[in-house]
Amino acid sequence: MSVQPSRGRKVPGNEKKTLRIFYIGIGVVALAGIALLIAFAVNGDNDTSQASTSATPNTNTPGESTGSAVALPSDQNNVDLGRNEQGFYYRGSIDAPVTVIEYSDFECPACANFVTSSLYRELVDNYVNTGKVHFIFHDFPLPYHQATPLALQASRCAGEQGKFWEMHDLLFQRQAEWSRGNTAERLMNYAAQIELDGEAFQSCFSSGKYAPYVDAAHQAASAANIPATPTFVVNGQQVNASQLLPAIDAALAGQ
Amino acid sequence: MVERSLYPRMVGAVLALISMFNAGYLQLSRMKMSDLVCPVGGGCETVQISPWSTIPPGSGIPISLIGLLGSTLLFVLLLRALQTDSLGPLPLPPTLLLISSIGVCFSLYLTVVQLFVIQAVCFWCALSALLELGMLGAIVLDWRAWRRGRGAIQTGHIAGATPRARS
Repeated sequence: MSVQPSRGRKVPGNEKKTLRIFYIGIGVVALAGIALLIAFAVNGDNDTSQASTSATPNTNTPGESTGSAVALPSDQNNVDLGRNEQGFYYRGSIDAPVTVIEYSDFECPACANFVTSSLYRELVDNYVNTGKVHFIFHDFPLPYHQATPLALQASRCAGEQGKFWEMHDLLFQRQAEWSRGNTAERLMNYAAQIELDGEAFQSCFSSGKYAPYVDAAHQAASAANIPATPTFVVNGQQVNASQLLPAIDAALAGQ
Repeated sequence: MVERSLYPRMVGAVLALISMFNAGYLQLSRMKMSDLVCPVGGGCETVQISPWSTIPPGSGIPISLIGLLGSTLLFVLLLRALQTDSLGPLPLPPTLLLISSIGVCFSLYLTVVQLFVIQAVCFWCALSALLELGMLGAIVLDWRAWRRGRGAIQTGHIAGATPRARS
């Protein structure tokens, strides 16, 4: 195998053969790579029909009073807040034409990226606060995120004091902090930052009363065939973050 | 006649192709804003989500996109180099060496950022750095052989050698 330092050279027969084999090999590797990338891309977008059941998960959530929806005081924008019958926290009118369920993990960086992005602000400001979207936060604690169970329990304990969403926002904003160590201590500090009753929060948090909820939430999300976090279900249609607002617009247009 | 092995260019092209798909996967994952599959460790998401995943850090061009474009350029040039030593007036071996060296410097910077700033290592980024190093190794071998052949031609030390034709 050789190359001569000039163009238009005569290529020997054995070199031609080796080059041909090489090009075929490159072609095979290229096709395999393209197939893998397509499989990855499709995997994130599939199962929209399978996900239709996930809009109404019917799983008991230990540690919560199942079967009873709880309305919380509306926020400063007069937007409905509360916890639905399945025990998941929501914001936005329950009569909104579009229901969005976000399957999310507090320790998932892509989920934090979503919550701290302009996309989330647009969702809340232009869709939730205007009565168009009923937004439900569905925990999907992933097993390899070891600090998530504590964060999830902290969010529930904050929810007991009507500040689930404040804790939700703070957990995602400070994810890089609490997920790397001293988790319990940091969560206590966050409780103070959002002005929770510290004693009540500590009592709730240290009791572990919401610990069984971790497995239940994971099982509910798995049963709904959720492939990754964050995943959104818009009126039964499973989409990823980049497809969220177009899917909501399409659902609103179809009303 | 001055003859050199094509194998370094072939090896470089294969590594560049793998690097393209590696960067493509990261870029696709970034566009989908979905979880990355991290085969070893768990730092992929942390690195991908960090402000350092763009140039300039925070809200610039995604590094995965830069990697994809860079490895595609190297792949195309290496394929071209299997046929000729030059691209127009541009001799390919030093051009490849320059681009590949920039790629390795970039990978070194990213590795330092991962280890000491983000304090998390992304498997795919580490793989990308190794691929860059492999490509540089192959390209250096090719460049050295090209220089030897060029010097020999210019000094007329090789019987039958003719000055390199410009394309």
